[in-house]
Amino acid sequence: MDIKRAVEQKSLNREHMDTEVRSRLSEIINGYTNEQEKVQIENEDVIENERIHVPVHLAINQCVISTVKDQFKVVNRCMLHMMYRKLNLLRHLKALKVFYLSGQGDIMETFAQQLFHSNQECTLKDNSLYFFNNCFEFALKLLE
Amino acid sequence: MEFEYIEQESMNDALMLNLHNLENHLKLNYRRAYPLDLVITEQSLVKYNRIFFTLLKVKKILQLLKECWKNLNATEFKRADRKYAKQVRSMQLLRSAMHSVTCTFEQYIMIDAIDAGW
Repeated sequence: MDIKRAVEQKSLNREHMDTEVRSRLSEIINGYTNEQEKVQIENEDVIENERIHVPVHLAINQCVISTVKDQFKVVNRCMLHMMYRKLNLLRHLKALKVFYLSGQGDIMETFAQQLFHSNQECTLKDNSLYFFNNCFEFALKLLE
Repeated sequence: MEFEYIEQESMNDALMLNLHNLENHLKLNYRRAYPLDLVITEQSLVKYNRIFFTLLKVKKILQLLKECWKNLNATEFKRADRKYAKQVRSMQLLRSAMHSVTCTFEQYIMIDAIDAGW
């Protein structure tokens, strides 16, 4: 009887070992354990149940922000084209630099010489605006 | 681009205009069409005007110092008595110091402030 029991135990141990080896082999081949597979399946079920409830920030991002961004891209290109090509913004900015920031020093120099000439009266009255504009136009002739 | 009067509260203010307080009464206006005035705003032009009149002031000081140099080199000063020689010399030194300070200030504005920022 003892011999029979011993043989049965040995056969049981072998079967147990075989299942263990098989499970390890499947882990190595598939890259995840059976338990992990179970957890994944459970998670998919949860996602399927919650698919109706979309988060608000995602919905806003998808429906509002992305469309506004597309519009922004189009308008931005149009504005750049209009400012740089049609209106020549850079030319205007260069003009501002030349006149206001005295980018071309000789214009300002001539204007100051005209204005603050030693014989010039300090007080200016009636037609002073014409005087200033004439001085400025005289200085601008240097550009031509 | 032309000079215009700044709107004053009373006419007396406009009559107070002279070469030393131009920035209080005048502005250099830059005419621009509709879409451009969204970029080059009135506010930015006010700031540009302030810079313009500051630069004009510096130019004016340099111009006046040039005139001073002319006057100090006149024959009256060169033929002055020896007892006034020290005073004349100190005037020349003062003019020279003022000129160097103004020149340095102008260079700083033009090179370090405007050209570097552009």
